[in-house]
Amino acid sequence: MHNAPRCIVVSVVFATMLLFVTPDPAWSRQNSELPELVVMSAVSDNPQSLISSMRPLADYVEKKLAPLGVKNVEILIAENTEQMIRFIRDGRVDWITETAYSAALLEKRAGAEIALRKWKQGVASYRSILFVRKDSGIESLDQIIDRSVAFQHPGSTTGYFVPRSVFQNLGMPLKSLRSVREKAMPGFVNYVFSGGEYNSAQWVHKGLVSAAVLSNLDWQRDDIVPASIKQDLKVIYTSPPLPRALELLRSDLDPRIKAVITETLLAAHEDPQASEALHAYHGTFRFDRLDSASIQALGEIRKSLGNGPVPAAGAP
Amino acid sequence: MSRTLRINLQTRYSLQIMAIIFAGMISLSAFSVWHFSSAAHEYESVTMSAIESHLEEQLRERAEVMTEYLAQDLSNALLVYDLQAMLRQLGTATAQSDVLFAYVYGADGLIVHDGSPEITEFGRPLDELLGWEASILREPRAVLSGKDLEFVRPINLGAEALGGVAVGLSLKVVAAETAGLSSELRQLSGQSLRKEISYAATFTLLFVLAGALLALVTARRLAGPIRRLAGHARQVGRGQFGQQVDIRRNDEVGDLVSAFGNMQQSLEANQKEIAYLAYHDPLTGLQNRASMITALNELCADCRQKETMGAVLFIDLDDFKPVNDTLGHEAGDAVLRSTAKRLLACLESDLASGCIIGGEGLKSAARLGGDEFTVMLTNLGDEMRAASICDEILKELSRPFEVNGREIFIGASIGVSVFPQDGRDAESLLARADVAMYHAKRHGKHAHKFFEEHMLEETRAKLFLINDLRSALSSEGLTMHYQPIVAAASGRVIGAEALVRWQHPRRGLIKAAEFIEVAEKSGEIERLGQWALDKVCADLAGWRESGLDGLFVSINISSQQLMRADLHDYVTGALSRWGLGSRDLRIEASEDRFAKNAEGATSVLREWNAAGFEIWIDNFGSGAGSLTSLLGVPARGIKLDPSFIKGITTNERLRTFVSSIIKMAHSLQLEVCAVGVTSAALADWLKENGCRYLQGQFLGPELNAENFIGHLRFKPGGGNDENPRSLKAI
Repeated sequence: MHNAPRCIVVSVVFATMLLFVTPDPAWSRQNSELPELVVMSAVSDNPQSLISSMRPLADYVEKKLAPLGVKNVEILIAENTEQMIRFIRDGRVDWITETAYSAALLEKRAGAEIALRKWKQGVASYRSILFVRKDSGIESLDQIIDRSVAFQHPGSTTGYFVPRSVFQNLGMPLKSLRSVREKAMPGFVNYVFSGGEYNSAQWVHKGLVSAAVLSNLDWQRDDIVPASIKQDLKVIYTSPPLPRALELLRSDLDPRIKAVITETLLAAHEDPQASEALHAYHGTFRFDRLDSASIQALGEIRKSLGNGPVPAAGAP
Repeated sequence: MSRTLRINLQTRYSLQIMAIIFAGMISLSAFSVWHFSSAAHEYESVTMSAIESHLEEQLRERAEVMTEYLAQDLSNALLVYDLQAMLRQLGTATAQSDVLFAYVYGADGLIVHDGSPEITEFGRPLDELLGWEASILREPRAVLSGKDLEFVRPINLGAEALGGVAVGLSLKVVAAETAGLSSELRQLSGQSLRKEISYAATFTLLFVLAGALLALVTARRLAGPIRRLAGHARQVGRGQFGQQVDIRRNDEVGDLVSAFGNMQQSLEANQKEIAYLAYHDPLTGLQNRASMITALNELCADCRQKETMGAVLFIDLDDFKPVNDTLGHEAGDAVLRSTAKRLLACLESDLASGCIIGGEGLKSAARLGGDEFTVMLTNLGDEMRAASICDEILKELSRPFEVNGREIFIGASIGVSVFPQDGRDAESLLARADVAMYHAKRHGKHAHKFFEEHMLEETRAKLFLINDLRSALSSEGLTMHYQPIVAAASGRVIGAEALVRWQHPRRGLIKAAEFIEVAEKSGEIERLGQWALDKVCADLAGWRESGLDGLFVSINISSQQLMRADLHDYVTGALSRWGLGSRDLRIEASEDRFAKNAEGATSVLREWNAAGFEIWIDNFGSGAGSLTSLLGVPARGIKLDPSFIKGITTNERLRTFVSSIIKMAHSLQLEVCAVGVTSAALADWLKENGCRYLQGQFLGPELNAENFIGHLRFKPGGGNDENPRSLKAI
């Protein structure tokens, strides 16, 4: 059994060494039949809590990989998507968990493979909704023109990528505002990042912006949209469903390892020994193969990514 | 001792001192408790106000720090309108119990966030909510509003005002804390007060105890000597003088003790003196009657034991009374003192050696009172020894006493009773000696008599006679007889001698000499004299009325009466009452009286004489009197005693003697009256030899007043000088 805190420290230190001291350590694995180390990764600005939530699953998978000679499953957290892209390109990470939009981005730019759907917080998929004040007189998305809309943050799938794609697909020009105080420019859908779901709801309610976007999951949460506020608001757009979260594998990872990881995760919800690890890992209910709706949604995202330059998620 | 509750001095003083200390301590304690309590109040209020201001200051500082943190954390949120960050920060703030509100306001002064998820106050002006112009502040400011502290801190980004944070902190917590502290303080001060009270009570108790001890000691110191003194006084009261109280104190108690000591000494001296006086005669220093009785009883017991003879000598001075009466009591006292000395001298002479008690004269001699002395003798071989001692005493006492340069002759009579034959105790011995003494007196005085049984009978008879005399005086049992006195020359009756006669109902006629002696002894002589005087005056007056003028009555007056100063007044009064004068009465006084106390008697007689009374010397020649003793006496004449002239007719020498007496009397210019003339021959002889007046059975018998007057009427010319009755006619 591993001593978890010690492993975390060792992992972080090791990752940092990889990051700063050894610019390209991929050679060690390219030159061997099977690597002794597998690295699990995610993007977060709060690496410590994320590591502790990932560790049990990493350990669980480590045991499954042991017959292949894998001795360790380490965890490496990237600060943002750009860094994650570099980690993947550099072969420093092998197994990544991400939301739909970022996953599509990692797929496109770093060549990662979307392997499984993760039922994060017990939810397989979710939607993006756009809401306004009931008394705003806004009934459809096209009325958002000339007005301001609050997006969540640049890395948010439902709070940014989806609505942005929706507006783009509607042919409505978008303009970014620096601040909520800044005046909306006519002829544009003026968007401003609220920085949080709560802000988005409140801003609409308090009239700072005309509309805002939330996932349908957040919309249901009372701490984000209190009932007293929700009664003044109405939803004017709901997107098609999107997979809640996705597990990606580095494309040039050894296929035997890929297979063991995929099989392990797919079967994990049936293994009582994995239940704790799953629960710790973002309350994951299970892992499964992508269904058609997910595939379609990913298609939509890949389509939007294809339209011109895509700003790196996580770097607003 | 009173039966009511008695609180002694010690208890009273102790209680008083304790009460004072107790009151003092209670007052002190009450004052200190009051003082403590008010000081505690003051301390509490000062402390509370200090704590309150300190807590307020703390709260202000807290508000300052809180808003500073909020401002730091929220400046960026304010800039980007991050309501979520505001909710998080403000929510943290408002979660604290004393935070009433926490606002973030914008540059426009409107509330951006109030910390509630719904932001209910969103868009409301801060100034309106706070009630003062807070939004325009450029610097942080704390405002006390009622029970709350409002702290507003503007958030600036460079020169640009972004808005700010405002928090309201409740002073309620401060107030509650203050109240808590205050109650704690009160509890503390209450505890201290209780402690203070218990200390005060303890100290009071201790002081009262100490005070009680002190009071006890003080009171004991005060009352102790007094108690001892009281005990001592009780002892002294019982007559146990013993030692002086040994308390040496230089204070009032010391003064008291010293004064008590002095009093005790003087009491003791007085007691001794009283004791001395109780058993001694102050005049002579001899034992008194009481002491003598005791000594005599002891003597009896002693004699009984030793089987020896004892005797009591009852000595009575003869004719002592006139000394007192004529020369005064001082002279009498001097005689008594000399008598005592002579007695002691006799007792301490060889003659009495071995017979006196304890070999001391003072233990054997005593003065019973007046002129009565006793001598107790013991170890007597026979009565002769006592007799010789008596003789020696008589001899000593017959020597003249020299008083104020004058010689006084007294003498004494002694009665002797002998133990055991005359009596076996003091009382009987003394009574019998007295009786014997009386007999000695009766039988010529200047002698001693041993007690004999018959004396007792005589004494008893005398005693009865006194009683009878008293009743006779009250019931006219006495009669007055008169015997004529005749002028020898003419043979006429010129007067009469009054003679008291007592017809005793059982014993018959009793001679005057006998009952007069009894009267003198019993003190009835005065009444008898008055009765006689009144009777004589009445009879004289009766005679006058019957026409018998010119008769005088000659009356015998006892020397005892004669010396009385008031007799003169009484006689004069009686005479004038009956219309009589001094010439109607002649005074006859016994010759021997003058011989004994010539000086005193003479001066008294001179007074009578000067008042016009004729004084005649009665019974001349019967006693020891001599003509020389009559030299100075202012008498008119002498009455020759009957015994004197009885034998004249037969005795030649007597005739010569009487004749020369008559001549001598004449030469002294004294008249002579012969008494007891029994015959004509005698009358004639007397007449021839110059005797001017005659009296006797031959010349006229004793008759009562009526018979006397009848007798005179029967004899013609009776009672008239001009017509004297012939001697022959009688």
